Amino acid sequence: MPAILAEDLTKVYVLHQRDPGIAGAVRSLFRRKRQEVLAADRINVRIEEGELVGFLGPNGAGKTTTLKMLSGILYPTSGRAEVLGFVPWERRPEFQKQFSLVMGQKNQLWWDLPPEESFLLFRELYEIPADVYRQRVKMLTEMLEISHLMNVQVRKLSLGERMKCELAAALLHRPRVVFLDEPTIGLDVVSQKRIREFIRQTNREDGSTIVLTSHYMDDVRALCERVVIVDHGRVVYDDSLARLVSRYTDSKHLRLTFSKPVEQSDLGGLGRVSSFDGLSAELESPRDEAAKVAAAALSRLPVVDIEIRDPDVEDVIRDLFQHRPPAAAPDAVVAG
Amino acid sequence: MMNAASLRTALRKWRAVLGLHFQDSLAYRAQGVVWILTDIIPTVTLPLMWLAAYGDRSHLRGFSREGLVAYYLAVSVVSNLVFAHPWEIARDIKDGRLSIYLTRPFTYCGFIFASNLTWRLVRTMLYVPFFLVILAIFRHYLSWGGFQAGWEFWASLVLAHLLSFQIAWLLGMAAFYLVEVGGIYEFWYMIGGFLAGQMAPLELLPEAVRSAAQVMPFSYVLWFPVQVFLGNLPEDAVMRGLAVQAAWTVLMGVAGQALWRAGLRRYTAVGI
Amino acid sequence: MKVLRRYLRLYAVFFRNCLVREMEFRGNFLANCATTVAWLVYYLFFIEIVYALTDQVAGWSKGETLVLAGSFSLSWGLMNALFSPNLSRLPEEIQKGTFDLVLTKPVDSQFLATARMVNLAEFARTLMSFLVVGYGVREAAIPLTVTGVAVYLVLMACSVMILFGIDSLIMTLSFWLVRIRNLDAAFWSVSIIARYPVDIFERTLRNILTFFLPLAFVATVPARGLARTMEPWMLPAAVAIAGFLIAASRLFWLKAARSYSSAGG
Repeated sequence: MPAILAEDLTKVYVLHQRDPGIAGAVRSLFRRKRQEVLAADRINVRIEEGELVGFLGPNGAGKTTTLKMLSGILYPTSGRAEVLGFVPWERRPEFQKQFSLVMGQKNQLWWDLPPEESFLLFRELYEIPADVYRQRVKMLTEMLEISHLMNVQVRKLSLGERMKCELAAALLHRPRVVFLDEPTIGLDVVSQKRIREFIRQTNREDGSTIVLTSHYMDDVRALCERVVIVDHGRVVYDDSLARLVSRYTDSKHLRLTFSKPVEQSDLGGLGRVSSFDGLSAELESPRDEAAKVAAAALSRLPVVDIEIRDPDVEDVIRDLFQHRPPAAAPDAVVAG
Repeated sequence: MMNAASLRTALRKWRAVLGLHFQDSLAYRAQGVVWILTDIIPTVTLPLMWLAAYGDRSHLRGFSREGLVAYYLAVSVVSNLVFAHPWEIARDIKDGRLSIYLTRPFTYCGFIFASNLTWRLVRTMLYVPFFLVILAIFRHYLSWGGFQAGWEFWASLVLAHLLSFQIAWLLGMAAFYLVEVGGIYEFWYMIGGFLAGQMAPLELLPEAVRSAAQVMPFSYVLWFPVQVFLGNLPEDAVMRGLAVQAAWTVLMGVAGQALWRAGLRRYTAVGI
Repeated sequence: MKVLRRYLRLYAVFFRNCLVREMEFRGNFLANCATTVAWLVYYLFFIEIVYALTDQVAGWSKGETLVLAGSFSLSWGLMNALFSPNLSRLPEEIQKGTFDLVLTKPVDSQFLATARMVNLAEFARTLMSFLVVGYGVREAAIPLTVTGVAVYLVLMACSVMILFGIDSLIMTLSFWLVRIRNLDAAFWSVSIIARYPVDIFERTLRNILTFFLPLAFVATVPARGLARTMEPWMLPAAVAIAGFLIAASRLFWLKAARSYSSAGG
């Protein structure tokens, strides 16, 4: 039995639009303009126990929506899903005790109290036996190096420390499935690294199935063998990361800003041009040639600003689908 | 020195500030309705309690049933126009928002005054429908006459508004010195309101309390203009009262400005 | 009843967490205690003033009115201590999306959402209310019997349930009217009416407060129950109304949670 199974999982949001002002308010009582947003479009995914899968995609692509359906927070418009053999949105306690959801920037720990107090609450919530609880706390606080923070109020912790405590709390009951929604968002680089290591360790030692959403390429690169890329509600890639990565981490993106307009032909020989508008340009060049390209650009062209960066998910996706337009007019399945 | 041009500029500025605050006050009308509801309940229940207490008597310490109802109704209307609350000042000081106001070519006191005045007006407007409901509830007791809406009343009303503002301003100054002023304001609201005759006409309070109330400024914020309006005071008492009202206003004003200057020195020293 | 024991244990944790938190801001805590008690004292003062000039108000003696005031304060104090802080926070939770996390826990969502915070300062008011009721009983020389006290306690329990039911129904609306805060503020302002004997109102208003918005059952009826001046049908009526409101609030909550999950939160 797979840990997570989604078949044609679809979610359509119905947005009601209202004209501003009193006239609009009155009108909206009688007739409202419906706008349908296809947040998830026939998502099909099968994840076995123990896998560490990354859900990638730009903002609004449907990653969080899918995660919410798999956590039982949302009912799908159509399709089915099974997590650990349960239908998530039935919200059976037996199911809820076996999984965990962590959402970056949404705190579960009590603000004015030390993490330890919140841990005790979780112990009660998840009915963890005392000895198991003690053992888990010890292990988790050691792995995350937060033992010294157990008695410091959450509001006094830095964002990175807080996130680590949140993770520890989420794993106290040794869940078989862990959903991590943007766990490293807003964190400093050091914390991000530490948390990634922790996630990897957990996956290995506990054998838990971990689904991670992120729009940071680094998260995924560090953790996931397999990525599912979601764009405009659809799964557009579901395969090993290695294959995806080999195409893109070997390149660097250069963004040039010019003091006066240049011709596109002037950029010849500098690498692949991914965008150009006269006063600025984006180039792609192999990693070990980036410095040379930069030097050439600076000497040849009237450059006032240059930015060299790694490709991010938006670049990857844009590149992936440059010849395939996103699903603009979906054949939406509307809720009854 | 005030000449015609500077007067015109000042008037223009005031008009703009008042206009802006009026819009702002209107935006709060939904919350305003809730606050009005909070004040309306006692306006209805307190006189009903008294009326139920009359029994066979026709007068209670000189108040006929109609007179008592008239008192509470007048209090509810006047308090809409008169009460000022210092929460804005406290907030601006605490948040540091005051700094921005200090850079403007217009006194901060003026801003707060405009804000309070416009809110009082908006609140009174919102109050009208509720007042009509209250009149309906007390329809059997509206036969009381003898209202005095002469210049003395309007003067007392204006002075009451100014006095209330000065008291609120003074209380606002506490925010320069204390971290948590919310509790103080709650107590002030309770006690000041009580001594102003909001809970019951001062005549119905125990002797000791009544004497205490007479020497404090609160009764001149509410009780005094109400009694002038209801015609319950003889002419000389009205004149004397107006003088005392004016004196309190000036006194509170002077104290307020002094504390403002001192508080400002402290505030700018901290460097927000 | 393992489930009951579990929920009680959970509640104990909530309580302890709140206690720890309040103890840290001790000054603030004491100030809040003082404020809540002050409002009760304020109303007691009014009662003193009125009864200095009369013996009865709409047939209520001073002692009986004190019992009424104390009962109202007791009921309201318990609501403010246990439930209102959580219910008022609901729209904010929904808007910020942290309600999602409530739904993923293996605990009833209504329990978690309405019981999480305890406002301990309100217990000062609750304690004072007991004293006021006691004083009123003595003042009115009400003979206390076991049945009398039992009836009173049942009616007070109904009173809290009625307030809870109405508050909960109103705040559950915020699942649909997310942008409107303070939905309950209007209700709380109006509910103050309950601390006055319902007999001071004329018949229409009295009927409204008994059958439509059952505020009469919050304090007037329990006070009458204790003073033995209550009509017998009021006891089952109170239980029925309380039961109805609790059931309605539960059903409405479940509907709201379903709608939340369908609409996308």
